[in-house]
Amino acid sequence: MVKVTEKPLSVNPLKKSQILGSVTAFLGIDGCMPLVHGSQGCMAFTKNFLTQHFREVTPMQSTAVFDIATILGNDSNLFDGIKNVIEKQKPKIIGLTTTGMTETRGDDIKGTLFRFREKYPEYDHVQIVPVATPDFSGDAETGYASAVAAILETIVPPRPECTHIDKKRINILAGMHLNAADIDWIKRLFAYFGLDTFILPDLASSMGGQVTRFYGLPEEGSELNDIRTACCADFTIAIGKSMEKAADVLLEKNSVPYKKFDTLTGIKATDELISWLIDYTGKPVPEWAKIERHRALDAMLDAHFSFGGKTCSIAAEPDLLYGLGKYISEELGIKLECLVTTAKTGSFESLKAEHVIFGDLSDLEDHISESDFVISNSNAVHLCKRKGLPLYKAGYPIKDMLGHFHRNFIGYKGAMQLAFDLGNICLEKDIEKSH
Amino acid sequence: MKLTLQTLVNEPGCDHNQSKTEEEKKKACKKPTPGATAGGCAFDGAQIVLLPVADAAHLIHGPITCCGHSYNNRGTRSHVGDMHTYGFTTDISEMDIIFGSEDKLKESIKYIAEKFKPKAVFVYSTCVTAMIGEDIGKVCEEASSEVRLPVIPVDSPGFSGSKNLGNKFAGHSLVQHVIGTKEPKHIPEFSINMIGEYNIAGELWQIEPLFKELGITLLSKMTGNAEYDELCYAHKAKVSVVICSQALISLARQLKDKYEIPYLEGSFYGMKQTKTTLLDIAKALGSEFLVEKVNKLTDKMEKETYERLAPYLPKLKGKKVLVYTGGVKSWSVLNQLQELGMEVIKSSTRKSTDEDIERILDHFEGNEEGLMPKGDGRTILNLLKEHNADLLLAGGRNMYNAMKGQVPFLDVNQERLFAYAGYDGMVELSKNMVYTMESPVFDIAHSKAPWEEM
Repeated sequence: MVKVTEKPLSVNPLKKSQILGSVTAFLGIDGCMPLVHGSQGCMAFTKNFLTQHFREVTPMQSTAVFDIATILGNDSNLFDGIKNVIEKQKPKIIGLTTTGMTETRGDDIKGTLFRFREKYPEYDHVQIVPVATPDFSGDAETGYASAVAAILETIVPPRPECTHIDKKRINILAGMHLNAADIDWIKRLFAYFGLDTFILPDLASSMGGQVTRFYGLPEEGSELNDIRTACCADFTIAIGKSMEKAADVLLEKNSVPYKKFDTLTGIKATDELISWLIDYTGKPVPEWAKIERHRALDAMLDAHFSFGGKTCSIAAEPDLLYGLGKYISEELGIKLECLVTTAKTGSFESLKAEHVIFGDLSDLEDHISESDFVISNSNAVHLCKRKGLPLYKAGYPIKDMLGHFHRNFIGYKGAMQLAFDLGNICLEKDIEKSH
Repeated sequence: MKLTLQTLVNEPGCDHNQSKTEEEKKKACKKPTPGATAGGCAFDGAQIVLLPVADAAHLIHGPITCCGHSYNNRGTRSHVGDMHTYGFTTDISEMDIIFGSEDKLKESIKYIAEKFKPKAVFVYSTCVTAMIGEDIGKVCEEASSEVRLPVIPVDSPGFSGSKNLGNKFAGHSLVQHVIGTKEPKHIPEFSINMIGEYNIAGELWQIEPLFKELGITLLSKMTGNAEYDELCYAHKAKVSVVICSQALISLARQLKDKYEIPYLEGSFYGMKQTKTTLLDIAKALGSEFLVEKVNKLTDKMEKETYERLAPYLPKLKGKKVLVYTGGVKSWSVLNQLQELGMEVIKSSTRKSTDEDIERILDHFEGNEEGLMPKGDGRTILNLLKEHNADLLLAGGRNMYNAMKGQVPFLDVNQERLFAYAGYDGMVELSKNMVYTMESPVFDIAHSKAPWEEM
């Protein structure tokens, strides 16, 4: 049973706004400038947040809605914002994300864009993807999913421009819970099976770290041309329940069928994906995947002595929460005490936990009594200190740890990494206790 | 709201504003350009000023972005509480917008008062709650009498302007609702207000011992490591010292007008400036004895500091630095670098007042080449290359630009972990500059992989 927090307010919010999710998705697109339509603070806070999280330059801009006239709603800030971004940054795509402020005054973003196109045909070569992301509803994950859906809705042509379906081509809609290492693993796996993957969005390429280029715009993320031809793919894989919305766009508009994996964390989930790939391509499982599976199992066996009788609590966005919670409880054998999440959109209701709460980090703090450790983002540092519990960092933001984006959470490698990382936390506890 | 905005924008204490024509004055300072902005909003600015008060709760009345993306993210440190690490927000929903959320706000204040028992609650309005016409002033007043705590409204919707204007909003709230509401038990002879110092990375703690040694009491610190109560005492200080010249000069001026407390501007970045500021304070307090004491103390400290700096000075001498920071730091840090024998290529003038710019020009002996207007990451990188710079000094947001250019970098803005004020700060700064410049990683990064063309 999912409880909703009883507090009138949020204390130490777990939730981030749809703006964050939407901007993050746009940062995974090559040559895309996220443009936040609102006060400059909406963008500045988000930029600061993501820069610290990724430890990368995170290009984004704001329409800087400022004076009374604009607050009452004329188009000039939006028009100027788009024009300035195009002139200065020369993006291929603008990811136009709204805010609570512009949604409150009732902006019709699509209508405004229509007027912009009428007035400035000289900018027709730049794709503009509008996405409604008021921060008074949804969470980062819904904002991310909406942005991916909007990219497909806006850029993919209604009927396939290509005359034939490319049997080898697979669209992969990558949920917000995936790390760079996860995306790299998927690319490698699908390539082995002889499939051409198109990853949307590809944050591993744009935000995964590079030293030779300068980011005025995100580079090497999902390519515009690949987005345009997503309709020619034979199949779509959606990773994370939240990505279903985007997969539906391709199904309904272009009849591209899809399969959704709510999670790819753990042995069973990975087995399911690889079985699907074997069926789909007729190729046998790669040797290296077999080795990885053995290693993961060995890691889980070695670690299991420390997992028995242990309890953990998790606070994260629905997809991440579900994947970690399921693996930890059903494959590692750790009990779940309190799960806190930010939107009612996930599959987490099937998880067995003492408490499942739609709330904030103080709900987590108030409901932990027997947990041995906590999994959440950097904002949980203080509550863990107060509780004297170790924190394993996952989610957004992680600003006090290097390399978090290069940890695997999915696939056999992810199962191994989590078994080691969480195993070490538990092992340390056991050693401490025995002295 | 509109009246307040107009009064605050027409800041007579701000030279920058005095030099404007009537027509110019009507416009708020530096309107941001859509599609080409960098800084934060007024709410951000208001929160920066007040958040260091760590025994008071800070409740943000708005949708989740304002708090959810910003809390637990300031470099400010405190001994008096931990409320600055908390994020409190009404997290308003669509229903709240349709039906109004004043009741929710009041319930939230009551919840915080009961559960966290803070000394006071600051309530910030944001774009959305201001647009739907929530009367936070009224709610705060009612809630205050119910919970028997000061509940202070901070009118700070982001759309009203820049961070800088938000700083002023916060100052205005202090003058309107806080300062003068309590009396200190006793007022030591040399009592001062310190305005605009936020104890980032513990910088206040680097200069506090100097004041102790001199027998000067920081009666009211606004707001680094401050207790709520001491903010109320500010009206009893003898002198106000404004550390960040642009942001809170309006607060100092209001204290002067209302309570006849003279103010002066100062900085604790660098030994020379530390000495000058301490001397100015001693003079403003009207004590020859104190002036004498300052001279003695600073002489002693300078001697000690030069000894501690000895291993670093040869490594810093003649090194070329580009400074890309804002406002007061754009000149105060120059003097610091000069004292260390470094050469500053250019210093940025973003968020700087005319007075700030003048001081930068002083450093460059009037040569305008030294001024660097607002530029993006690419401009910064190009300048670094062009001048063969050894180091970039900038805020955290530019750190990764520097890393892409593979240039040594030092973070001098809000989220940093190191403190650079006073004498200890000089040593810390020198160490950290040497550490980044001497890191072997840059040599490896600059050399090519074996298979790359030579």
